[in-house]
Amino acid sequence: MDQRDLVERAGRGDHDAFSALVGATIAGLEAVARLILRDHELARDAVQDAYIKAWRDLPGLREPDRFDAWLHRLLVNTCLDTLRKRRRRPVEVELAPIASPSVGDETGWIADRDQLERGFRRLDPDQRAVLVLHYYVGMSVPMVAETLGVPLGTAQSRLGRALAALRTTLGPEYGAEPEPLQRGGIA
Amino acid sequence: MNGTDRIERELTTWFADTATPQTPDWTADILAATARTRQRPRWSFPARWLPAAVVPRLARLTLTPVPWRTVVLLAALVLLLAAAVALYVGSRPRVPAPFGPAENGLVAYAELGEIWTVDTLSGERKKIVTLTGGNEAPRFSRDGTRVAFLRQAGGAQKLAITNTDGSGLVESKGESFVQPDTDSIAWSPDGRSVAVVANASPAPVLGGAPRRTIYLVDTTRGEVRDLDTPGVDVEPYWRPPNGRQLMYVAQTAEDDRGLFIVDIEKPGADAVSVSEPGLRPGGWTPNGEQFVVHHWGIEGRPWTSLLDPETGTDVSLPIAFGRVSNDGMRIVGYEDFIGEPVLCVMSLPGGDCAPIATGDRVPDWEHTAGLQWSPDDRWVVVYPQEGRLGWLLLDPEGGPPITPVWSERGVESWQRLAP
Repeated sequence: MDQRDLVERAGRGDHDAFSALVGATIAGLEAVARLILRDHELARDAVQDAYIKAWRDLPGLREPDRFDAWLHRLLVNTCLDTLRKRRRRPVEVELAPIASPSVGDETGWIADRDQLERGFRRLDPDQRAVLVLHYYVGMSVPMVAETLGVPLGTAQSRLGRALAALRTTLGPEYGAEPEPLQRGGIA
Repeated sequence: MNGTDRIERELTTWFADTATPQTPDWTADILAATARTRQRPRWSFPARWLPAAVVPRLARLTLTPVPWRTVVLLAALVLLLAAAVALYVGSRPRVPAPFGPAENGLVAYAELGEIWTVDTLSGERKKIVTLTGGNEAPRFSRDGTRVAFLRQAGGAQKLAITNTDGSGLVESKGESFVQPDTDSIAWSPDGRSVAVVANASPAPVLGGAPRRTIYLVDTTRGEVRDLDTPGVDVEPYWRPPNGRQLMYVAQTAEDDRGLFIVDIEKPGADAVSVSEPGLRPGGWTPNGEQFVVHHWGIEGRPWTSLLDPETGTDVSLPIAFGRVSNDGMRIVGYEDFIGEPVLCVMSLPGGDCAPIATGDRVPDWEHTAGLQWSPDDRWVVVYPQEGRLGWLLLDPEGGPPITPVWSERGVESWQRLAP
């Protein structure tokens, strides 16, 4: 049975079909939530909330083929809501890599990854979501825009700003522009 | 490989390394939670029955999170601002409009060089100006918050302004006023200026006739400006509602007078009427559309007309020295003035004139302040027989007259209060 059939059956109240959809998507969804939120517990709550919303609102999905994009939209919006609610409460995020690195220069790799991690954490949640959907999930930018419910230009500018911010953190070898001189400064 | 390519590659690798998809061990919890959740009925989704073109816009609307925190904060700020404005406005004394009916406030008068006010209900007196020298001719501002008066001290004649409690004294700067006309003191509607007629400076050489002019005194800085209105005689009147113009009567020949209007922001004055002996000004109607003119007819009978200064058309009324009520609906004046004088009230624009006083209670028409309306138009104030009866309040509806508790004090100016 393909995903379209499962979506249609789940939309008619078939919970077994919905269980199959959850089984097929939860691993990827949990990873997306963890990347955006940088916290296992928050990611778990966000995924659970997203699936509950999906089950509740599935009868309203007119195009079953767009289930994946729709589910990601529910998840990303839930993640962004979570971060907005917690913005005033500082949270020490857990940074536990799930897989070990497998590159030759381990010291340099760790240094770069630390910088990447720091730069990523400094990004706005909206920018994090764009990067994750584009570079992790593999969505095209128009698909990212549709998933997030924003105009294409907005998605493009968020992506550009996110990359620029990361380049600034990682330094000139990643294409960062040197800091401009202040007006009246001495060269 | 450029920097962007490299960062994209690094990012993709880092994502893949740090977020390898694994089925979490709490999947069953989610399924249990969803199993307990009821699905929304299909008909409750607008996407199921609205046109497809509408749905995307609707979906964007419904999925965009409402920034409740911002909305609440903004609402709180708006409420706070509204409360502050209300507090500020509420803390300021309410004042009446410069024209139209108002509530009756205090009565001001001068006595032995001091300025007094009297409460018209209780008769309680209060001395508000005790400055050395001679202080006379108090005039309340149109909003009732300040008093202007003439002040003679140290050999100089000045116009002075105070708050109604005597505080905040401002005196006219520059040269002393020469022969200021006490009846001419007139507050502008906005309270920024007081007009007063006096001899122009410098005085003519060889004892020629002095030139009279209207001076405007700034009520906050005391600066004096000559409006250059040669020959002005008796009182000028600010035109409602904004007071940008003043109407006045000026001597045009030895026995002739004309009506002139001057814009306070422009040089020079415009003649409004042909010269006429015995012409006197009687003030504006409250809407500023007509000016009350007092004439002496050829047969020696006085009459009143309402003149439209823009068109030159007028309405003649068979009464003498008419004074229009604050609401502009009535006019009080003298009927059959030459024979037996009768004071009567007529509706505007005309009709029968209903007598309100005869005989000893009819005031002397030569006294400018001897015939006036109370701020609330409830009374016509008169000063008959040169004050031998004291001040009287006549009922414009024809009721019995009243001798107020302040009858002996006089009504040089009656304060207007907010209704």
